[in-house]
Amino acid sequence: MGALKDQQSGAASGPADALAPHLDHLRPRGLWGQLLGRTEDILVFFGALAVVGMSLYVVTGVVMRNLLNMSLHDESVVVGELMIFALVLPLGKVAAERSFITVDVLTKRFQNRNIIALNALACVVGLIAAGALWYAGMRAISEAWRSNAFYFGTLQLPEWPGKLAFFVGYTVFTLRLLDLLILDTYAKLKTSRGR
Amino acid sequence: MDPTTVGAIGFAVVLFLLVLRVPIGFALGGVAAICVFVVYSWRPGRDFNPDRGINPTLSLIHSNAFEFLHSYSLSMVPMFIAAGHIAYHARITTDIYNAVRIWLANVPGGLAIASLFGCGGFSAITGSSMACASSMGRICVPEMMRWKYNPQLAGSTVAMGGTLGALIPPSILFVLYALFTEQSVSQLFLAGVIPGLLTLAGYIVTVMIWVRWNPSIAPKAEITFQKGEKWRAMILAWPAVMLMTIIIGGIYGGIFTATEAAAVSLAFALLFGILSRRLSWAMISDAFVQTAKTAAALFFIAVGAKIFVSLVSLTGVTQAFVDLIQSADLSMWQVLLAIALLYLIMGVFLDPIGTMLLTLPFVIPLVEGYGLNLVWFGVIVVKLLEIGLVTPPMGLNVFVVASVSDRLVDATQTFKGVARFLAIDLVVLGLLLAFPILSLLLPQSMN
Repeated sequence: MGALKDQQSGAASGPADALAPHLDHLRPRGLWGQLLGRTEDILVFFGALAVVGMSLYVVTGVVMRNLLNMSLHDESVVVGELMIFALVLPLGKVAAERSFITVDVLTKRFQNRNIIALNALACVVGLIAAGALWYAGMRAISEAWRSNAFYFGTLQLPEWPGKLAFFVGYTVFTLRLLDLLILDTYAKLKTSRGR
Repeated sequence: MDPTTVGAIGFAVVLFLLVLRVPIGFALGGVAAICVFVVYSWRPGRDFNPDRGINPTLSLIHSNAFEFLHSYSLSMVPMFIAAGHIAYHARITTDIYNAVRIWLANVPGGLAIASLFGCGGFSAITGSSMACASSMGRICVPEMMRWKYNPQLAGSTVAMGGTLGALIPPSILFVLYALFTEQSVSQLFLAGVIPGLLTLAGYIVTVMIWVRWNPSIAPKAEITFQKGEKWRAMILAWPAVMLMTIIIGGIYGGIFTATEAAAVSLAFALLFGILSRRLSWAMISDAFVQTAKTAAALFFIAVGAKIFVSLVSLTGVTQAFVDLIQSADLSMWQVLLAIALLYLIMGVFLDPIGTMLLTLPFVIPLVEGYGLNLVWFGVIVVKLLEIGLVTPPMGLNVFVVASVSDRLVDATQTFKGVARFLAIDLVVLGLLLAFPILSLLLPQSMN
């Protein structure tokens, strides 16, 4: 396995790309890179806040039910919406850190230039998955916005916030994968030329 | 094009991409998206028409991803992950280890046994094997090496103890299994308690035999603790006991659902950490940020698997597989043995979540066909996956322990030590297969 990071008490965070340090000097440091990185940091922060929010909401529900014999309204809808924020918004950051779980039993003895090519392949496959989800998310948010749809429940919460978070999360994720693909392709070309 | 052929090709392509180091979530999601599009666009007896495929494909992808994530019951996963982070930062997990370490100071191999108890305690707070191995590895391995324990014993004890993380509730693997097989998370959690404790007992016996056989691997600590110190250490571990009571007791007693138990345990750990001044704001912020990133990575795999499962059911490839097996007229035990071998072999190369999500669409209909209890089968699957976590060459837990121990132990030494524990793992697996009541006793008697 490659270097393992973020394992302190994470559930299943995978091996970080052992190659990332070698590629760091190639990472674009311009305005685009900074903007994307900053956006990812903000989205991760909102994701973390969503985890705090859903925990608070569930605990409040338990306390109200057991102590006050009352119930919180639309608990499953609110927690569900926060789940979208918590699980989709950090995807760009996770991709930037190359923290997705990979199986590198058979490829760990590969040379760097081959690993770079495999990284690029991973980005292409990831773009297919993320791109499809991004496009589906874009259609869903425009539909929710146009129809002004609401969730069934006492609070009649609108559907658009969760769908917007889904769309924004996948937009940044897709952009980050594109960024990594360009980076890996550039690195591959550079190593091929250097041979 | 025949949908079954598309499904079979899709499955083969996923395996090929995994070998090429493509992240599991990317491979499952990307291949499933293309295959679903092909199935909808190229229906049997008709020409390929992409216009016909685009709308149903996008609807299927979005509904599978969005509806899946928009889930109240799944919210327990990020909350349990956060509870684990907070408990680690608040040193709740260290307190369990310290208490047992002090009580067993003069027992041969006491530190190794304390490490196993520490792993068991940590497992009852968070739901991940790797998290358990990682957190306890940082604490226990340096301590054992300080007392001149053999590196094989030090590394392997924590790597094996880490596997308890998925058996003893809460367990992320059980949550995902429950979701994909439509079983009760609470029942699965309770089903894991006795097998988890049995595994823990087995590991302790292994350490005791190993140390008795070769006492030089675990020199006796030349330190004695007063009775007062022992009791003080025990009392200091109360938050860990409280967390276990909230999670296991709360679910068993019907006081909380599993989701509520996750939220309450997180709130308790957080409150304890703040009131005891063990947690700084930076630690809390870091814990929640790490939780968001870990959960996002984990759920991207689950979303890919969900879309892949839809592809499998859309193409009917599962039915073709089940028919093929049933036509071989195998007995239930032959099928179970084949499934166990499949998981052991796949577990050697793939991580547990990937293995489970990739195989469940095929294995569950088969197991259901034999009328087997899916809660019991879930325990068997998780136990098999946990064995994969410590077997070479993948052996994630072993690499985690080696990477967090500051080069005090290496992966080769740890793998050598792990070999001594595998026999007891197979014994426990045999017991679980032969006596389903070991898994089903608690779920059947729950409130």
